[in-house]
Amino acid sequence: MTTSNVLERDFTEVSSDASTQSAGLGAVAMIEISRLYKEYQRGSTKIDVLRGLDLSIKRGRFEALMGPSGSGKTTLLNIVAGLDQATRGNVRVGGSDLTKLSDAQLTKWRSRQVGFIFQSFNLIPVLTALENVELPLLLTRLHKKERTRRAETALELVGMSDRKDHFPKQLSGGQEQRVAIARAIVSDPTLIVADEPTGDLDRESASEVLGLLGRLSREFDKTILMVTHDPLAAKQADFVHNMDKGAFV
Amino acid sequence: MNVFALSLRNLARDRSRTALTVASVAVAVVALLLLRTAISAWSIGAERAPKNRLLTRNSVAYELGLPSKYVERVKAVPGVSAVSWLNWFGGKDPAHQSLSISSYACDPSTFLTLYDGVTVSQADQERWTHDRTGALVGSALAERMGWKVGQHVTLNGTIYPGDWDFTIDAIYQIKNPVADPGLFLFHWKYLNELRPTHMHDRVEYVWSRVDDPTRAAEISKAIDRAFEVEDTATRTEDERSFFASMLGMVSTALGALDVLSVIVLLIMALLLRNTLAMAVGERSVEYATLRALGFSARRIWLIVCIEALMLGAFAGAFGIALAYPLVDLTVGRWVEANVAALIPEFRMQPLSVALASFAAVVLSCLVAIPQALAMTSTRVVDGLRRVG
Repeated sequence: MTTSNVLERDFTEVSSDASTQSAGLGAVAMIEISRLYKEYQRGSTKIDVLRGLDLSIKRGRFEALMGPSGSGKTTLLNIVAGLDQATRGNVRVGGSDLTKLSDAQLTKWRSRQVGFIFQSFNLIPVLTALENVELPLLLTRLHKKERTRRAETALELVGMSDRKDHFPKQLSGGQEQRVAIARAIVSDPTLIVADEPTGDLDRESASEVLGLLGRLSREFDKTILMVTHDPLAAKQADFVHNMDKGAFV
Repeated sequence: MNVFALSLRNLARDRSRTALTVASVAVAVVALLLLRTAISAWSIGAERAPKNRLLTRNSVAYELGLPSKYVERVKAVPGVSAVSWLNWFGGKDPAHQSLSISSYACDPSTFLTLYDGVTVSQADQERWTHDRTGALVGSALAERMGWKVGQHVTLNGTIYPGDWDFTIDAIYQIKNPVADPGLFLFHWKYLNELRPTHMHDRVEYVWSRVDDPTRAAEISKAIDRAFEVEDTATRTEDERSFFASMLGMVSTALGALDVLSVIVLLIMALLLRNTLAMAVGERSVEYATLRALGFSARRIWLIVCIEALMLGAFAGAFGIALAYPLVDLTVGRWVEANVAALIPEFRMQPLSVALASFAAVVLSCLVAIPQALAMTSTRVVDGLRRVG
């Protein structure tokens, strides 16, 4: 059995909710945003970060958000990932209306539906690569043995099996990001959000990471939304949304 | 891997900081145990003192003494079954002037009938009873001073100046922890003959035993009533009440020790708070990451509080382990050997140990609350933006 087969089977078992909610979404939008506004109040000044965005991304797509600093791309990513709330507008991800979920419900939703990849990897330094990947599975009812097996499978997919007992400080930046990708996919989320995933990497490592993201999209039908400044990274995506001053351009 | 393992790894992240905190809190635990032991030790004497023995003294001040003829009159009070008498001598060994010896002049023929917590062989007791300058000493005192039976010793009198010569006739062993193993007992007649004329035939305490301890208060009143019309009135109370009244005299000091205990607890809390504030604060990005991954606020609280709890538990256990040799085996042994008349037992009480453990663990959890609150009340996106 290939790694892909194992992952496909494992990930279907991890979250039955995710499977149920995602069933039949292949043809419909994974992310549906309409008239999305995000405003911040800084003292007496109102700052419009997102100005009436509309966005639709189908399941299994790998799309990128590009734009200068302050254009609102990370804010949009955070709202799509359930880390931040819109001021007004509609946000549906994987069939769930995020504007209607409480903080606690969003937390639970994220644990099942979203995988995160950060620019600085954000691995826990006191945990090994395997333990870092196992972290999201602590939120499931899986037994220790099964958690370990799935974490090992995820590490195998990103080519980090031989480094599973290494701590983050013993890994290169590219290796750390691959471990972070394994952590993002281990609980079989339908959506993976990546905020500047290649920002701290050299060209070769960046290329490997982007290749992995593309593979996750193509082979595992993961929807990937990536924020990047890097045009070369953006070229790997199926589609690039350019943003400026809180709007698509 | 689980949240316990994660908390433990976090605790071991900066080993020198954790070790220093554990050591600092452990010292506070030792200080707390020492203070609590001192407080409880004072009351142990009173708690263990028998209620069937009465002490009758001058109602104005015990130093003024009572006429020795009172002894027979106390014995005549209904309910009193045995009587003896005592004078505090307050001698010092010339070679060890800094050490005060608990020395009393007593009546050898009646003393041991009341002081029944000790054992002396019949032969030794006989020898002491018939030797006017003989002394009966406790085993702890004899060991500390290196005295042997038959040895001639000289004490300097602090109340009755001069050199007083004695022969060690017997060494007693204690049968129960209420008895004092550090007493120096000699003949009241020897003292009476050699002290100034105006002090002749006066005793400081008439010591009596009653058949029925439940009647101790009633008999005490009867004794005092018997001397109401005399020039020298008396005050009689059972030994437990006597100790309790002595405790009253040092209640201010004990109150101060209580305040010190609270200060030690505050110090302990601040030490823990400081370490946790640094440790948890440094990891704000990690906690934000965990929350992004779907860890609920409750789980984050759990991780922070388990780490704090383990820190407190380690520190508490280490402190108790340090306190045992220091409090029980060092300070306690010294106190029991030197001031057993007042403090017969100076040992850590289970309640004090429980209090110290409870304080270390509960305080660590309490001081973790603001940190856990800070980690869960910050918006995840703000937490992720922080530079770790």
